[in-house]
Amino acid sequence: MSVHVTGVTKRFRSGSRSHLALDDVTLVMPHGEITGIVGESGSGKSTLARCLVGIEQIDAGRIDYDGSPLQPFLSRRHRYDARVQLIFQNPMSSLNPRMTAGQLIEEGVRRVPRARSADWRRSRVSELLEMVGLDATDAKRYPHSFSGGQRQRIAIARAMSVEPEVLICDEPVSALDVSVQAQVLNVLRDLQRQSGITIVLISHDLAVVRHLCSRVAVMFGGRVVEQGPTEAVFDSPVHDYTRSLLDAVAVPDPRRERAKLAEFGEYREFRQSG
Amino acid sequence: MSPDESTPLLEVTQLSVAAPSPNGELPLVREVSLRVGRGERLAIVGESGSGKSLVARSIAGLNRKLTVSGSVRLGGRELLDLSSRQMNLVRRDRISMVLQDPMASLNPLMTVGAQVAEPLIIAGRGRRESRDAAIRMLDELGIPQARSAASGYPHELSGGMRQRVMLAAALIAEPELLIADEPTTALDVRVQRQVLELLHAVAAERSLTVVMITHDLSVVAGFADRVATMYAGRKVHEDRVDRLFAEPAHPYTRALLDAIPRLDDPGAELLPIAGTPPRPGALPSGCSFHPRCPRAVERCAVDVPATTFADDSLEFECHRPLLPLEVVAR
Repeated sequence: MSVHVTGVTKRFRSGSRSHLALDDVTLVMPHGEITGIVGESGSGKSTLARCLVGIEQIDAGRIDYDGSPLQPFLSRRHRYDARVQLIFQNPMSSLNPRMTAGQLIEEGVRRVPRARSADWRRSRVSELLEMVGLDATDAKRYPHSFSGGQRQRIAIARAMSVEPEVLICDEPVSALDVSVQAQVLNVLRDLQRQSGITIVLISHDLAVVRHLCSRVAVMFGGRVVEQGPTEAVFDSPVHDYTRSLLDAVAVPDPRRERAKLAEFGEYREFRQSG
Repeated sequence: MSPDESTPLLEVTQLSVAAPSPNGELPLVREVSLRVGRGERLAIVGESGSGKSLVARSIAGLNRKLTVSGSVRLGGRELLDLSSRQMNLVRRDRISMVLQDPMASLNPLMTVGAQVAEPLIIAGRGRRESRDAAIRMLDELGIPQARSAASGYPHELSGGMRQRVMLAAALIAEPELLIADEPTTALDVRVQRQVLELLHAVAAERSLTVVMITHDLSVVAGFADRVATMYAGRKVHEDRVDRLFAEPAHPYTRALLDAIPRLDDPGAELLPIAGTPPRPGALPSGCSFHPRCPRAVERCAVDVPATTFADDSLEFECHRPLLPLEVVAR
């Protein structure tokens, strides 16, 4: 399912003050690809994520999924479109601590029309756990007994339980240690390769986006300043802001990093002497 | 390099930190030794829970509620025996700290200038003189309109500016040792770069001795002279920065480097580290890392590896190290 965002504007108001969080955002997220959205805090990337799933209402413009807007369920309990799922940064605050991993995932599995038989639901839960690299026996454990990386993978399994066509991940690995970040990133990559789902990855980490995404959009001050195939944007950025972001990223290479720091030292000396 | 090799500025020997618990003491840091020469920069890296911050806090004498044993010497003087009043003086004159979250370390009710000047005022310098010094310091750290910024409050500043204020307050009393605990972690990429550049420049201008704690290996690649890796409360590996990144002797450091997505090598496969770090009090037998280690053999589950000093700069605790060429050739 492809996602087209056209001229979307979102303004937050508080008393007499207002803040333009999204300013005429136009974006394409092609079917079956991982699209990255990068930007610093306050760039509007998380607001965009929330608008994409319908948590926030947009003020102007339109968001189309395969050509039509979200189709929210009509009952009060299910206002959202199951075809579009969101994963948050901190899995500890998005997983109910009193439910086991199995129960959490089964909640979603139940909503699938074929979920009549308990046997089918059980095997589907096992399947989902294995899909994210966990064990079927983990279904009986509670969220607190898992590590951060495992919890985030449970959140992914739970999101996948309703068989969505678009998965939106808002900073899915930024709360995790490097050693487990890779587990979650590899799960997302495998998901896209195997199930052909459309993934939107929102991240402040350019290396993560470069690694995983085929397309990228760079946001700044509520606007998309640059978008295109990842290689093109990273290798020959057009916008100054994109370039400044890329220059700032630290790489695990002592020689390159020392050169960058030395350059600043010379600039500082020059400025102080002048 | 330090002018006087024989007495390092900071010498930590067999430092252990334990927390009281209903089932006896939980070991959080286990016999960690470090030496940092004058003007040298040591980075301590590791995952959350590895004990790296506890080492930093113990050096600054901030772990009063935990059991701290071993020895921490600054310029030859033992710090762990000092009373809290004496330790306050050490923190006023000789050791400064910069922490991750400047909002949590700055007083929201004090003006920026007063906070930066505070160490001087406590040391008995005049108010006007201290205030002028604070403004000069803020200016040196690139805070625009330092004079008017000094009369403002922390909440009026952005995260990067607050971190500069923290750094100004940390440096104003001209400490010998700066401990920076995740100083750039909560900041945006571009601000992170600015703070790192500034930290590098001011440390270089003062030949400051720095211990930097971080989980992000990339951040210390250009900043540190040496890197120590901690795992489950132990220092398991230490080496010169170049060799540690190019040829990490310890499989854990190697695994950490292989798990980072790299902007300069986007095609590389990400290799996650299997499993999770052990909890304190539930350490595996033998080498603590063996259940997650791709190189582990039977022996690793049985024998605790002793510290091997391979040459002047490399030390590790591992039965199956990946020895750098230079060491093998010797």
